[in-house]
Amino acid sequence: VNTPSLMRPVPRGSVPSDTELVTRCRRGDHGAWRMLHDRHAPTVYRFLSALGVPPEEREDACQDVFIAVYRSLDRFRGAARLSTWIYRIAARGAGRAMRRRRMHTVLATLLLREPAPPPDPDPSERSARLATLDALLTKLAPKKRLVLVLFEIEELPVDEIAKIAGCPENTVWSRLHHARTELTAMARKTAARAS
Amino acid sequence: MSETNHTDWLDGHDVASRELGLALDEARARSPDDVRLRRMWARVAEPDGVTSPDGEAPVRAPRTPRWIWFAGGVASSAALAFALVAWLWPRHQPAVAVRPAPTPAVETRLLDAAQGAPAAQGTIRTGTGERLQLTLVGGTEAHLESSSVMTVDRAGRAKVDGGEVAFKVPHQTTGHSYVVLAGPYRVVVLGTRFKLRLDDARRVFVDVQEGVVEVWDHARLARLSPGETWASPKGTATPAPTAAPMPAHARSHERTVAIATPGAGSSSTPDDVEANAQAALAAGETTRALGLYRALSQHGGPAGENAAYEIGKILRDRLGQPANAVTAWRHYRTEHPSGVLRIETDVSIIETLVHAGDATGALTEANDFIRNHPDSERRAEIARVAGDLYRTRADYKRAVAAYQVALASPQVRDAAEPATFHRAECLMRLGDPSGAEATRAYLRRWPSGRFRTEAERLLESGDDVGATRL
Repeated sequence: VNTPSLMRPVPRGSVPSDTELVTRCRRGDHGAWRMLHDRHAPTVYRFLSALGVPPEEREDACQDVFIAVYRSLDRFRGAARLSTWIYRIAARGAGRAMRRRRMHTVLATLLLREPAPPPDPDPSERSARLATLDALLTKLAPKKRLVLVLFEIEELPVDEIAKIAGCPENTVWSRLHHARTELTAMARKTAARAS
Repeated sequence: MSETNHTDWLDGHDVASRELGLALDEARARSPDDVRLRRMWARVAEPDGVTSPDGEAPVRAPRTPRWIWFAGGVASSAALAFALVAWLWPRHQPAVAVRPAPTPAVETRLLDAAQGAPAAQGTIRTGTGERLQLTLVGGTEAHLESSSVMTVDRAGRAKVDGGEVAFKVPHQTTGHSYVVLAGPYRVVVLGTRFKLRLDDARRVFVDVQEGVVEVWDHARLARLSPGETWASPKGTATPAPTAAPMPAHARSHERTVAIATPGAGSSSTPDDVEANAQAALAAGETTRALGLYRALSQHGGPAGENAAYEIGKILRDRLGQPANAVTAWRHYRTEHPSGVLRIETDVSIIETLVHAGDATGALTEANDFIRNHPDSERRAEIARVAGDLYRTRADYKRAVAAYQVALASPQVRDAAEPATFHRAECLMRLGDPSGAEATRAYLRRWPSGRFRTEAERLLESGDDVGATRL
């Protein structure tokens, strides 16, 4: 059974479904919007973190994702899961955040500005292991990284990943294979260097 | 491959794989804390345009259509491109360019008005119907008429290569003159207004409007007064200037050669060596400049003659060796008895001797000057200097004579007031009855003059002074 990890394990009946929340949000129900946000925000935050959005920009990136979700609620027809739809928006948001960051880096270089001091580490990243994983993921191509993150970390089924990545399922498998191979090779190289 | 078993690909026997599996587990468990979640909600719940004014029902903020961003981008790019084109567009078209402007435009551009600063160099051209006003080094104004070409070298010296250029040269200080080149001719001025024109046959025409101008090649060809015109003889057309400028790397190569071997055997032309010497002087490399000028002075010709004169200037002004400077200038006079810079040399010698305290030598030189250059524009100035020297030595009789020479000169100008007063003063000290009248005449002509107080005092004690001297 593919239980979307976006959903918190709450008893059915006590909490409305995503579809109900969307309907209520369209009617202007502020409480429903709050509920929808609280339900999906941790996942979006985790997803953006795994896609390489730096800690100091994650909250802003999350905000952008949910504003985009809210503005697009009218266009959500329920053909896919709401979580799939939010993942797609978040993936685009992460891409924009990364491009913006690259642009800032280029501008800072051109304008010969002092580089910004490193931000305080995210409490969720205090593990050296996690930091190593993020560093390895950074070296993967964005498309491979997206597939790997969705499959290995978000634990989504391949058909949903195909919808989010906008590619056939076979392509998802192919990208996943290459991403795993590269990640393993890099991990072994790093371990060998450390030892 | 199973969809649910996510760690099959990690065999687990490998340390790296085991670590990777654990890291993926940690990544799955990564979650923001409650504080962060609340903060994120605060931003999403009350961002501008997302919530309604009552804070309850979210309302949709008007979204800017994408075409506006696209149009803005296109407009910005076009504006940037236009600004770049406007900035990079050449300011001066070649003389052959036809401009439809019915009224000639006058453009003013400052090249370099700072005294002593390195001059802006290059070739300036005006198109058809275009006029241009420039200020050159030393404050000389040049007005280029339509379809004219003028070159300014590194030393700020102007050369008319075509068309018509009117010059307005401020009065030069003692020992200096302003030289404009036109073909093979040098037009030497001390402070005047004149026009230079080169016709299509490359003949040179000089029209003097104010002051005195001399035209030289190897010798003086003409001395022109206001209203007079001089034209170079037919059949002596000068070659047109080379259209293509010498490549920068070629110039720098020649400069290197000239510096390395400033004397005989250098492949550089005298003009190049002279330009190098001027550049060295401007850069403060006095010794090198002196070496280049000394080497150049051996070549003869206009450049060699100029170098022989410049040696004296460097020795006096840069190295503080007035005696050596006078020797160098006297050597110049021996080598170039009718040189174009002869008058400047004589004046420089007099000036240097005066400053060095050699009054006798200065008086000898000044008297020679007055005798040898009856038509010189500097005659009044030198006569006044002679008068001052005689007056300092209490030789009032000779001083009066010298002042009278100065006042009789048509170019008396600035010397008129001091010569008039000091002549009157000397007459008073000689006890001459005409002294008082000469002093009163001074006061009538310059009622607020520099010597008014002294003149009044002289008149008050005139009898006493005269009696004492007599």
